[in-house]
Amino acid sequence: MQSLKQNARITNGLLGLTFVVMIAAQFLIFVYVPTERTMGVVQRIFYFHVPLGWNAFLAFAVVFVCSILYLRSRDMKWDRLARSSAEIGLLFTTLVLITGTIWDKPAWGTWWTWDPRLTATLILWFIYIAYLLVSAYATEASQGARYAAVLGIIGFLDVPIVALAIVLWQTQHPSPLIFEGGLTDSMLLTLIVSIIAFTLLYASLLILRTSLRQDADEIKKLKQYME
Amino acid sequence: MENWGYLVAAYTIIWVVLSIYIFTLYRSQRRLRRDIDSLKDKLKGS
Repeated sequence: MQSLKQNARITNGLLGLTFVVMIAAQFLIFVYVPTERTMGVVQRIFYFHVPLGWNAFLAFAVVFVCSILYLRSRDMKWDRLARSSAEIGLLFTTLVLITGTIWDKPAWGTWWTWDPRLTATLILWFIYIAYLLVSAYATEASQGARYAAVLGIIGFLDVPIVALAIVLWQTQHPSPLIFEGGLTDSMLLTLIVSIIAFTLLYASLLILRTSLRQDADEIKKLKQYME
Repeated sequence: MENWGYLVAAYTIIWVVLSIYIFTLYRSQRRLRRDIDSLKDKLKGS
């Protein structure tokens, strides 16, 4: 139960910092960065879509590492961290899919197409839904943690497929502009600040969610002990 | 090509979804604090 108070200060501080950087990112996205010539204002979705995607990858990488650590140590703290990260990663992937769909309509003329990048992302979304269901509905906590850890490791294999889909296959999705130097300095600055803002948001949510899980587990144990 | 509607829709959905998630977490935190207080009272009474 200590974690609730201990982490509250860290989380509130981090949320405060996230808020400030997020406000700066909104200023850059809507005021500072010039409108892209071909796509117009709708291209500004890019400054949310890409940071959300990068952080979803980061979240699933954390799930992957924590799943390995759980299987090695059987320490539930790794399971709590992995499940919290998977939940936030799933939330971010949902937003990536929604913002991508909204961007597709004016850019490609359709809400959805079975493009390799989009399809692999949708598969990723289903994998982590399955991950959370397995961990939530297992009869025993340790059994759920074990199954989820295995799924967390195997499921991560889809992340490089999503990332490399635009290079490996012919796809409608734009190529990696950032690495090809396709962004102007102002666009790159806006993107970097937005990535930092969403990474801070991810870190804040991860600390908060993990501490809530830890406290819920400890309260459950205490109640069982007292009955 | 001006498509403000799409941009506004994407922006609104992102912040509504994130706000609901953050609100859910804070509501869970409040519930856990109530549980902790109730356990403390039980321990004092025993």
